[in-house]
Amino acid sequence: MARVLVVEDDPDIAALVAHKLRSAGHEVSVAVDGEAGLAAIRADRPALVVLDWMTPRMNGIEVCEAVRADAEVSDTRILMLTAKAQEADLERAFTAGADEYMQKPFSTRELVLRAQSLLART
Amino acid sequence: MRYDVAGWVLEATAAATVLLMLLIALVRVVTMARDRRQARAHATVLPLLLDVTDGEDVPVPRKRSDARAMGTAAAALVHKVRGADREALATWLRTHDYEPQARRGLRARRPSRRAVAIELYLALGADPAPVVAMLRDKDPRVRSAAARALGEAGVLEAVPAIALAVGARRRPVSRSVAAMAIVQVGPASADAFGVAWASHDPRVQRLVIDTAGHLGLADARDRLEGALASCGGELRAHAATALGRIGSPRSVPALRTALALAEPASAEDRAVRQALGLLGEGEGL
Repeated sequence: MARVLVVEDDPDIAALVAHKLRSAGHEVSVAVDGEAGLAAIRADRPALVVLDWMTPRMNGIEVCEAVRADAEVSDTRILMLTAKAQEADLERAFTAGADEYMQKPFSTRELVLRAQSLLART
Repeated sequence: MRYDVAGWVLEATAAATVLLMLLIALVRVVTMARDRRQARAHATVLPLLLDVTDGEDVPVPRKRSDARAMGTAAAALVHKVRGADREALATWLRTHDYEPQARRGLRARRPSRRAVAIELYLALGADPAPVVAMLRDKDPRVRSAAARALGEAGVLEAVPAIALAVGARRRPVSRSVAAMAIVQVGPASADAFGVAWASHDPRVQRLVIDTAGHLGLADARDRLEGALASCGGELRAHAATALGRIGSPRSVPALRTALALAEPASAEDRAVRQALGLLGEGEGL
C-alpha cells in the first residue's frame, strides 16, 4: 500500500481515479488545484502523484517543476493525466519532470497498472 | 404640468429599475437553487456510477430526479474514460432504458433539453446520425452542443460534417467549437476530412487547414502545398503555418516558391518564413 495524491479539478475524474486506486489498496487523497496539490505533496509526502495538467491556480507543469526543484520531495513519482495530445506536450511534460504520461480519455485499468509500475520503482 | 410629466417619467423609470433588479435577483436565486439541487443529486449518484464501473449491477434510483441525474452523470463520465469503464457505463445506460429518454430529448421543443439529450444519446453508443443532423439545429446552443458531443465521443465519421457546418449559410457552427471538436476526435489521417477538402468556402478551408496542421497530419502535406499555390493570401498563410507544424522537410521547395511570390512583410510572408524556420531553413531569410 502506498500513499497517492490525485490533483484534479474535475470532480468526476478525481472521484473515479481515487476510487480505483483505493480499490487497488492505496491510501488516496485529492487536491482540486495546483497550489493545494503542491502543499499536500510537501505536507503528506505521497509516493505517487496523479497530476492533471490544466489545474487552476497553478498548472500541472508548474507543480511538476516545483516538485523536482524541492530536494525534500523531488523523488516523488509523477503520473501526468491530461487531454493534451500533441508530441510537443509530451516532451514538455517529461522535460518538466513527469515520470509517466497518460492522455484523457483514459482507461482506469491502465492508470492503475502504470501507477503500480511507478510505485514498484520507488 | 411639464414638471408633473417629468416627475411621472422619473418615478416610472425608478419603479421599472427596481422591478428589473428584483427580477434579476429572483432569476439568480432560482438558478443557484437549481444548481445546488443538481450538485446534490450528482453527489448522490456518483458513488453508484463508480460501482457501475466496477461491474456491479446497480439499479436505477427510485427517485425520478436522481434517476435523471444518474443518466446525465453517466453520460458525462462515459466520454472521460475509455475501455472497460466506458463499456460498463454505456451498457448500464442501455440496459436501464435510457435510450427512449434520450431519443425523446433529441426531439424536445426546449433547446436546453435537446442539448442535454445529445450527450446522453451518444453515451449509449447509438448511431450518431441524428446528432450529426443536429449540427443544423435552429438553435446555436444545440448546434454547438452537437459538435462538442461528437468531438468528445470521438465520432470519426462526423468530421466532414463538423467541418462543413462552419460554412453553412444559415445556422453555422462557430469555427472555434468545430476546431475543438475535430481536435478532440483526433483523426490520424487527413482523409478523415473527406469532402470538406473540396469545399470552396474559405471558412471551411481555413478550418481544415488549421486543424490538419494542429493535428500534425503528415498525409495532408500535398493538399496543404496545393493550398499554398492556389488559395488566397490569408489561406496561403494558414497553409504555410500548418506545413511548418507538420514539419516535413519535403515541404521546403513549395514554401520557398511561396516565399518568392509573397508580398514582402505581409502576413503570408511572415508565416512562410516562420514555417521555413521550423523546418531548419530559417538561416539567411
